[in-house]
Amino acid sequence: MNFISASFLLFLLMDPIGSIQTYLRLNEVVAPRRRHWFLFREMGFALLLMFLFAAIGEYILQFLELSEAVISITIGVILFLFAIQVLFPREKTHRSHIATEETLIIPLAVPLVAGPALLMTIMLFAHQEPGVLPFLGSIFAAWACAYAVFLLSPLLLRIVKRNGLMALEKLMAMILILLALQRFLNGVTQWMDNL
Amino acid sequence: MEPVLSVAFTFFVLADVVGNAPLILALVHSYSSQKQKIILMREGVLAFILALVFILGGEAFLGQLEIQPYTVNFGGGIILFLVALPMIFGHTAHLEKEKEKQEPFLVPIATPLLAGPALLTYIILSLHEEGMTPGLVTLALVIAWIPVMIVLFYSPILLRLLGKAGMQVLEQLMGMLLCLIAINLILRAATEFFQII
Repeated sequence: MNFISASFLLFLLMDPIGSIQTYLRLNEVVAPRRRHWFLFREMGFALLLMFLFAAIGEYILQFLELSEAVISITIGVILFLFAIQVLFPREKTHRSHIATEETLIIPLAVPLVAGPALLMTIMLFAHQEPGVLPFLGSIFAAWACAYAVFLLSPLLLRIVKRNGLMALEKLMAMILILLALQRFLNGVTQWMDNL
Repeated sequence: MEPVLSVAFTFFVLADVVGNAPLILALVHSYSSQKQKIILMREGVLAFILALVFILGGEAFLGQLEIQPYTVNFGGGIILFLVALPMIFGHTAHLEKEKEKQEPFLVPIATPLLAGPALLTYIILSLHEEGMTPGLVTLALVIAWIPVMIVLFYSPILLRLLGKAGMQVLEQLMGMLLCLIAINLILRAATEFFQII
């Protein structure tokens, strides 16, 4: 998996575009002076968490004796359920979080940006990639792009309006469903190969 | 010109606006007729834009993420199935209110009904056909979409002919039909998948 593919995939899993509406809502209850710090802190924590999983991912896999197939299937299932919830919302989700005051880490850093599917994917990459540095580079590149998306989100809101953001969110969810299914099926293929 | 027309015709068939019309109407029957026209036209345009974007970047996008055609069918099938379920199992008053809050937008009408996995997959196939270029495929899409928009525009007349009770029966029937289509897509995807591994 080359640098661009890896970064692109990680970027999609962070799903900043789909999280814009939630981010803007969370931002509303943050004092205007603190908003830059709020984003920086949340994104910073997410990045640290991602690096942590990149570092210890391999050991967790070995310790729990998990095969690649298992991880792929799990990533597929969780990502799928998450994306389906976006397309067919039922009760309160992390996305519909109604904030009354500035939130800390939950829900923006975790699970919106650095969610379980992303972290597990990073663990899988850690296991597969021989080179550490380019891999960390992919994480950072994807993260930087996600940061940029959040920074530009008020502008995006003005261009495409609420409805546009909703459409983007649903479109992202459909892409994530495809990603999830592919991961799941890849995992199943691997599992069947090992039988 | 011939291949363009044949591709355009296939696009029209895959969008299946006539077959989908009762389905789509069932999804919007609780809105005012003014609102319905707006929704229908908007979804038609959105589906067109989506198909267009797919012509330009779809193959590259899916290829980059290594997403196979059977995955597209599988995903489309699941989404349609989840749309079909509430149609079959009826609505409680609570759900009716929720429908008011969430006007269908892009999903599920523009996609996966009008510009669904079948259409999107075929777009990729048509780009590989002899003598077809992205420009010609786009032309085919435009040709196909004119009748699509026309049918969408006049479909609420069907609604008026049926009345409220008629629409509810239609919704149930369409739900079942949608289920069949969905399971068909899923099984087709499963067949392809098992043939590949």
